[in-house]
Amino acid sequence: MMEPDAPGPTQLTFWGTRGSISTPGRATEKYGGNTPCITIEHEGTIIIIDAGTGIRNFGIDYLEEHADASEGSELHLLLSHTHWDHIQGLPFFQPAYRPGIKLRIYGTAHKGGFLESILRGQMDEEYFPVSMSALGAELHVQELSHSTFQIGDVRVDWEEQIHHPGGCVRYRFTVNGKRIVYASDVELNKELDANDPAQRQQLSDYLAFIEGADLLIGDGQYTDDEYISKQNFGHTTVPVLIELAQQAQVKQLAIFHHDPQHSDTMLDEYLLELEERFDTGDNQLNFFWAREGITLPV
Amino acid sequence: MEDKDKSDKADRHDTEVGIPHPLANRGGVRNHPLSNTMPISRKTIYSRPKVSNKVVLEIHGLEEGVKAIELGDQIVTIGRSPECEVHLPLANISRQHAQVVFRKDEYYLEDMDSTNGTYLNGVRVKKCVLRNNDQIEIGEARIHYLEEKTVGKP
Repeated sequence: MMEPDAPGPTQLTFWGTRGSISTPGRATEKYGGNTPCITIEHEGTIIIIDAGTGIRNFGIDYLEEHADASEGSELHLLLSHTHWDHIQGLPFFQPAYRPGIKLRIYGTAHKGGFLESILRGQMDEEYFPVSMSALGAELHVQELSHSTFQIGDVRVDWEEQIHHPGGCVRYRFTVNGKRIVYASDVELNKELDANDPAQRQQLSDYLAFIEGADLLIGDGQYTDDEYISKQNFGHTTVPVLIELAQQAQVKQLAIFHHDPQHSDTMLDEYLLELEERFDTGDNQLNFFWAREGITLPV
Repeated sequence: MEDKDKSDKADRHDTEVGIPHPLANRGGVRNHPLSNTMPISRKTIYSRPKVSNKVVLEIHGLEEGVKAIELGDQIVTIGRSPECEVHLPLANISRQHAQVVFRKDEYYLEDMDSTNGTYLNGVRVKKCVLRNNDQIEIGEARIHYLEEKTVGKP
């Protein structure tokens, strides 16, 4: 009797980790200057999360490694929302120009049927010289409907996050019993008002969604001091993110969506402060800055 | 006093009419009538001195003490096997554990499906582009990645 094949590895790569706007230059080369893009690869299934400027480098790498990519090659792009920093790389994504490749784009249904028109709009000739209809790949834009769906062996759960201007979707990926959660662009600080039942519910939903995650990619754009002048911008402070991840017994936390003003030096120094502040001895949470160009086994 | 006025007027006049054409410096000829600055030829500007990074892996945890290996454009393998360029005869290290590869002007650390994993700055990684001062942990060894900028002759 043949042994069943052992499950293949799952790998997650950060192609862009910066929030708001790309920040090229020496001061940001360690943690990266490209805006959000992550890939999850498992047994030939490739899921791309967000199409910030980082997707450009993924596209180049993908075509180098899959020189024969054509008929039947399928890529799944899950958008959290359509703010510039999460879609601006799409017109520079080379596989989208390759005939035969199928590119399935998923996003919120809360835009009232406008997801495709938003993506098409950024390729209007007033903004970009090539129109979306000129893309050679077979494009399917799908608005999310069921709260759970399957891509290959990967189960995808999603929820709307309301504390970001315009809304934003968080995703949970389950494969081989491992859970990866992508929950960026959300102002969790707003959910901490224990006297407000609606906020208590929001927080409870968030904690349930990330509970026990093997890897959480979470929004940690601001320091406590910065947040004072950045309330309602739709982003979370790093200490709040760490506290909530600890509470939900997350195993690894990649702090994501770095503020454009945060240099590598600042982030390194700040992490030392945070290590001291959250050193609880037996706490198992491993938190670190998400870093462009890194591939993690999950 | 009168002489100084004349000189000021002359300066103003020359400044007004002496706006250099953007391409005037081509071939090292500077047409600006007031400029005494030494012209630099385009050849000098664009034939840049060779700036290179001297990149070193500093290996800690060996019995013989700290060992340094300079990286070039060849693959450097790391593991317990004596055939590895970075030979680590220590516990919890696979025979072929990891490698450092030079690609597109960057050094990448790649885990070679090792049993106990490769860690970069405390995080288990499959692959990662390396940056100055990164700390690699492999079994009981610690490897410090260091870049040192050097300027040589063109």
